[in-house]
Amino acid sequence: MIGSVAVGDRGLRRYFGLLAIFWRSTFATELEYRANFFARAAMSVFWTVWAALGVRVFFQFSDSIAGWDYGELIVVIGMFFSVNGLRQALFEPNLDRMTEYVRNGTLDFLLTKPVNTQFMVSFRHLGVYNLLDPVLGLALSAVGLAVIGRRPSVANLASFTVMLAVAVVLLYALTLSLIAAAVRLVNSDGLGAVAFVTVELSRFPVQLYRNPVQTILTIVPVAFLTTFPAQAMLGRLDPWLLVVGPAVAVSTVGLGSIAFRRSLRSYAGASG
Amino acid sequence: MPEWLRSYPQLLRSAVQVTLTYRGRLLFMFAGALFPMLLLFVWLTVASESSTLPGWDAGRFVSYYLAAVVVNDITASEISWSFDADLRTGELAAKLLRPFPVFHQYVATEAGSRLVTVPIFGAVLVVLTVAVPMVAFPSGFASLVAALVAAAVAFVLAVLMSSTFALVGFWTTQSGNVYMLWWGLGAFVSGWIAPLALMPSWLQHTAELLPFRYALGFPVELALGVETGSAIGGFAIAFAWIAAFIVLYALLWRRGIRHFQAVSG
Repeated sequence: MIGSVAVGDRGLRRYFGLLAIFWRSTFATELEYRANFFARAAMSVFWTVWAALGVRVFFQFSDSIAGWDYGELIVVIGMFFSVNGLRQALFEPNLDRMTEYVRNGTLDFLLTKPVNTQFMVSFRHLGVYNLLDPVLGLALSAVGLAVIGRRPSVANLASFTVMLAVAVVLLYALTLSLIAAAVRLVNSDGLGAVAFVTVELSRFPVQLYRNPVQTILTIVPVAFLTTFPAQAMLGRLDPWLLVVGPAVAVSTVGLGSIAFRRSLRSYAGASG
Repeated sequence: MPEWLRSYPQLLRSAVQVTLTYRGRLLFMFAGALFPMLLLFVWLTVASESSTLPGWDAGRFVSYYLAAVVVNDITASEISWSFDADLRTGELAAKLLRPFPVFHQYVATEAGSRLVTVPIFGAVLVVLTVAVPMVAFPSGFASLVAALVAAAVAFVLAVLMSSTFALVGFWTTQSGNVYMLWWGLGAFVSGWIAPLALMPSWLQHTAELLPFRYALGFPVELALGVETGSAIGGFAIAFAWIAAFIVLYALLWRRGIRHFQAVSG
């Protein structure tokens, strides 16, 4: 029975245990390639510095763009690296494999396991190399705060934590809908591009785009990925969003989950 | 006519077929157009707020970045990545056995995929130029021809740079990353982050001497009539870099191939 596994208290603990096993095995495989890890780390540092210097060019002609000065923009770019790193670490490896699962019939095998299928296809793999990016991103945001000389209050940090969690949950909802699409489309190599583009749109705060793009990006919740967490950190967040954000996050995951279950119902199996 | 030149059309045909088959990859290619568009949107905001951008109104920014998307599609070369993958899988050994220089096998693959994407991007650009008054390339017929030639030169320079960096793969498995570093450094002086005309003049002069501008910004500048420095001088420097990369490629190839031990299974 798909998706009907009871996730009670014992169930929840069991799933955390499984997650630990999944991630430990990914770590063990990837640590065989240590030189690769250092190369990737060096690249991450390079691109972080690159992005921070790159936006400097915009400020040749004025000290602030659409109400954002250089330091504040750095906070957003740091947020972008954090969120993008989390996408690459948590979601991309699993989404990439989904197409193979469907085409090779591995999904048939996953469906027979005594574990919630949605959990299995969502969290089995981990992009170990990208775990450094969120750390670097937060460091860059801290540099941005230092540039403006602002120290966030406890309330700012708390609302930042809430908004960052909302961002990650939204990304998961997006990934889940794409996974559902992969089940239906069977041959779907380009789905990763959708997630990539969505997060890439959040590289700059939405106010830097003029309307109608700005409004579109607020409704299609790109603004939730980096702009709102950064505003929370800077103490500029509309407090209303602390309610709206979690509500949007929970309902999109709900919708994604429904989409996934319905896609499984249309799945006819691929082995033979 | 050498044997390999005669088989080029066939190689191109098969590369076109491959491109059309793996349409998911095409989607990624179109996603590559996104980043210049993001930069464009930011520049539009900067232009609307600041009056100190000499001659750069919204129309000029839009035209610049639309043309840059097309040139970028022409010159964003994947040779460093595919060479790296071929070394690891042993496919390179198979490529070496074919009666066709390895360099040209990669170039034909790249050119074939461009035969699919460039007409699409190019058509969009032409339609927008005709239909949207804001999009304009007012530099005159001669400059437009020069821009087309510069775009072809940009392709040659880009595949040569990418192929040369691919050879780093003989010594380390990071050639794709090394090429991305090179590209990233170049992004400041290629016309990617900002049109060179908007950069400080010392950076413009540096950019005119480095190769990056000739693989992206130069054709766009010619089409818009905003080139920094002389056009003929620009072509001369581009050809000098092409020559330099041919020599460098030949040297690295000769050393690397001796270093190479085939992987196969």
